Amino acid sequence: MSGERIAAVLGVAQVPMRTRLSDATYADLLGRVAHGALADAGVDAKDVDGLILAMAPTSTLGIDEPQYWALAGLPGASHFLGRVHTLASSGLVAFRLACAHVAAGRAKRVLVVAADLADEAPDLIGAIQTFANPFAERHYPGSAATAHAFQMAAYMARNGIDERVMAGVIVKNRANGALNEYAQLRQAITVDEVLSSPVLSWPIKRADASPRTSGAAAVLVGPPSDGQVAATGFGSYANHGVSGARMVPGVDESYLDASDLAAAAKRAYAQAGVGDPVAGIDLAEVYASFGIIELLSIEGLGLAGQDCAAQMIANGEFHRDSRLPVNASGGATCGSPISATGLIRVIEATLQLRGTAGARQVTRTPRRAAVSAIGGLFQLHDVAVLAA
Amino acid sequence: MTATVAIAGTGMRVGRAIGPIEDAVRAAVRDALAGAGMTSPDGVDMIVTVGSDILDGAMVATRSGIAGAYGRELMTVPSSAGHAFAAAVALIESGQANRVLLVGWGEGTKFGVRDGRTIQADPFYARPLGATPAVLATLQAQRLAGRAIDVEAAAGYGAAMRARAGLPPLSGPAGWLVPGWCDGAAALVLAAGSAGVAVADFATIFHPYCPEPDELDPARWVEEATGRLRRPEALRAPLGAIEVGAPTPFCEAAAVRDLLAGQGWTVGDSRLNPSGGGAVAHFGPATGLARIVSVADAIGGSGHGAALDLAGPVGQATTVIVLGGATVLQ
Repeated sequence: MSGERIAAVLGVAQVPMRTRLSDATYADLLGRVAHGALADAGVDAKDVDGLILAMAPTSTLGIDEPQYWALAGLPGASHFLGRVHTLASSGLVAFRLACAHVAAGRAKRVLVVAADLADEAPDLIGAIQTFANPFAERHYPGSAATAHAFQMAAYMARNGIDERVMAGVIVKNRANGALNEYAQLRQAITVDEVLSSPVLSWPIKRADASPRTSGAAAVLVGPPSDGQVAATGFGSYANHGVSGARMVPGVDESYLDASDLAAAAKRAYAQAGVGDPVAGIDLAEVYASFGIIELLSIEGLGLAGQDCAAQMIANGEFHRDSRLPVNASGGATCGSPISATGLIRVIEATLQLRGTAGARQVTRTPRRAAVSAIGGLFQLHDVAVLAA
Repeated sequence: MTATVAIAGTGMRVGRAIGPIEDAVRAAVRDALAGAGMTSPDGVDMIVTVGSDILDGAMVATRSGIAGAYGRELMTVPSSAGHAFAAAVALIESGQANRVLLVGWGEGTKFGVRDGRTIQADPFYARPLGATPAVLATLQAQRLAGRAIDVEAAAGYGAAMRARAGLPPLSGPAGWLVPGWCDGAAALVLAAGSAGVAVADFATIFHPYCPEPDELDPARWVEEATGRLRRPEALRAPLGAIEVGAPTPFCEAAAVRDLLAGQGWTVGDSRLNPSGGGAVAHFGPATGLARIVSVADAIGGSGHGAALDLAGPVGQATTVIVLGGATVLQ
């Protein structure tokens, strides 16, 4: 199987991302996007015969097993196929599972839904602490910011580049986000503004990080047919390892060089028949809750040589009007509801491949896109290839 | 009856004192791999896990190394064994994987300390009324008792299963409302066109609101799932074993009653729950994997068997799995 169309994206929907979505419950949000995706596809609810819920850490949200109360009335609810939980990659992994059910002939149309009400979460930091080994590394004050600060500092030291260059990825994304009607952060930002934002854990500043986001997304998957965006390859790679140990150079440098993401990408590209990704990929939507993750993801996906991404962005590459735009939507640094963020990456790539991304449509309509998502602290990596 | 996916190896560790759960997982995985002719997960190209979201205080997806996931493709479907099983088979049938290690675990002995305010029941309507899973299970029993199944029959079922597992009977409602909470780990190697126990058919149904407004009758849910089988007649043929895992012995007894009648069996039949079923060994959403393993082990290379996985507070995430028959090489 190489380059075969596995399953098609029939319909997509999302809601504008905000810090607080006070007019909706979790179930309301799922309903909005579910019916939005069906409307986009022109499919009747009775014709949906599969439903998958992507939900990243349930403890983040203070809700366990929401399928037993939040899915009632959703299309395909009586054909519920399960809840997928791989942290922030949940949406992308759930999309993969939906494609598998369709490609296997087990279902004709599978709806994937995800939502987060982050402002109602009791304790995000506490949830993130559960990414760490409770015996070996729960004792240091770990958070997403401190963990990714290790990566950013190492990247800067390795390449001899300063914070101004590193800020380029955020400036690019925020300019893109200003054109995205669904983005939470819609104000362009300058390098100086990035640098003057409060330091969270040096060298990471607040502007380097995704905001705390509420939002929702849905994708309807069906058999491939002409004229529809389709998935052509998937790959994943699990590095369960103790995150602290992987921050030490010489022990397991995948935390610092994204080689695990590269392994996932290699699997996805092989399935999709992509030889040279620089030549074969026209656009990428990568989950990156910090600017440094986007740089490492660009390199892990093989779209730039190792340690080259930051300088290439400074040189104008990967921008919306470049040959290979990355996160033309603004990416997760402009809004990232954890459960839905992987699915939003699929949606944004689909809209670009369709040529219907509105103000954020890239200059040259792409034919093939790479989508990636990461779960935990660089512990799980998933990549998909979509084709027009 | 033919199939393209087979269970090539199985492993299981279940008990109330099986030591660290990580060791139990590793042992179950080791046995499953050995059954499939492997000495390491290197021959597996994807791992699917099922169970609680948290293991020993850490996110399961980040602890998947205990199942041998390091460096491999991983998917985590924690909602039920039936969902994870369906995912594993679909991944193989769709060409995404050739050999999948499906592994699940749980620590039922720790369920007593769970916070009932955050689990499962509707947070807007049901939880303020105190609708914990235990309350919902009781409502289900009250709803069905004397109509679908007698309390005495359910108690007899629970006692029979406990006797099968060498456990003393429980008196009063505990005998039919309290599952045999335990710790456990179960693993299966599923492979395309492999020797082993064929996955003949499966189907899953779901009732997405709890408490359900309907009859809360698990036998109807089993019937509904059976109706979605591609070959429902398989369950009317003589079966070598039936294993059922449900939230309570009452729910189990109610769920399986029509199947038993169809087979001409009584609850004392040794082909019903050769392992004792979920009534004596329940460790959360992964319990259904143990039921699948037990059926596969019971029927071996001949005949057919069925595993019923009823997950959720009253078993409304229902999966019917039929095993046995020939496997077609892809």
